[in-house]
Amino acid sequence: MTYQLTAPLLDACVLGVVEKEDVYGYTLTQRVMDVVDISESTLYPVLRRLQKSGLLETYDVPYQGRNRRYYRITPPGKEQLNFFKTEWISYKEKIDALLGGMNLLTNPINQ
Amino acid sequence: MNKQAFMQELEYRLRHLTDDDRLDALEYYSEYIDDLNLPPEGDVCVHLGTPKEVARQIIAQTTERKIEEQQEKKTTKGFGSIVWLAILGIFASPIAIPLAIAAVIIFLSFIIVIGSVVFAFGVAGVACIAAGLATTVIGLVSPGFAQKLIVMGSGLFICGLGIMFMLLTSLLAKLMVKMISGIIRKMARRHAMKKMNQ
Repeated sequence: MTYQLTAPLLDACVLGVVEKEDVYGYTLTQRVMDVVDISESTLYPVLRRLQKSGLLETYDVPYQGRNRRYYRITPPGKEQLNFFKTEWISYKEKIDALLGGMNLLTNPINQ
Repeated sequence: MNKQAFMQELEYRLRHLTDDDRLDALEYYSEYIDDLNLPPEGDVCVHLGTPKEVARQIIAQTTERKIEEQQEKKTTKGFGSIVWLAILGIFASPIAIPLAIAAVIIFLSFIIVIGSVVFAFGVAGVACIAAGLATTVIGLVSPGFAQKLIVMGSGLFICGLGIMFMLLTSLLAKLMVKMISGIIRKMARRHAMKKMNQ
């Protein structure tokens, strides 16, 4: 991946995935890994931090004789996610403007 | 490395964390490895990296979180455990053990030097207060009214000086905890980020 992911952006991605549906560690990791370049052990510390700051909560569901810990977003988590979303949109727009917006790919200079 | 060996080593490397932090991490990784659906002797490290690397990330993040919690509460409580986590972090980092020992010694010397300055201020404060009180008492039993006033006055003055020293000491102590916590936090964050973008 050309661009590096920063910690707040990764928090935002995790909150975004969990907001859509409750997930357990493995599926969450796979879903994020499909899009961004992280290692499989990156998300545990992130989940733990989000959980400890009250943005996510967990519950256990029995599965094949063991437990699966699901993560669920809390109301403060939703608030935080909304904040991340507005920040992302304004950042994205500014970068788009610097890059020349959507015209960049449709009008290559040397065509 | 199969699941059992991986989990054993991870548990060993996280042994200094609180039960809550350690058990949470172990449960997560135990579940995660089960979800990988590997064959019984499948190599876990291909997916997760070595237990040492996994432990390093967990310790770095725990350190950062503890510092944040401490700064929110604005107390100096828990400073000891943060320093302890930082030392663990140094040992968990991918450098040779002799270097790690050297790093820990430098780090501790740094804390001791700053701590000694703070301690010296504290001792000066206590000494001034004690001397001030003693002088005041001597003033009480001195002959002559003017003499009593002069000696007692000087005693109270020294007492006040001592109290100022004590206030300064507590300010310095807070500053020191903040500064060292800040340094540890930066170190922990750098660790975490380095790993994340690999």
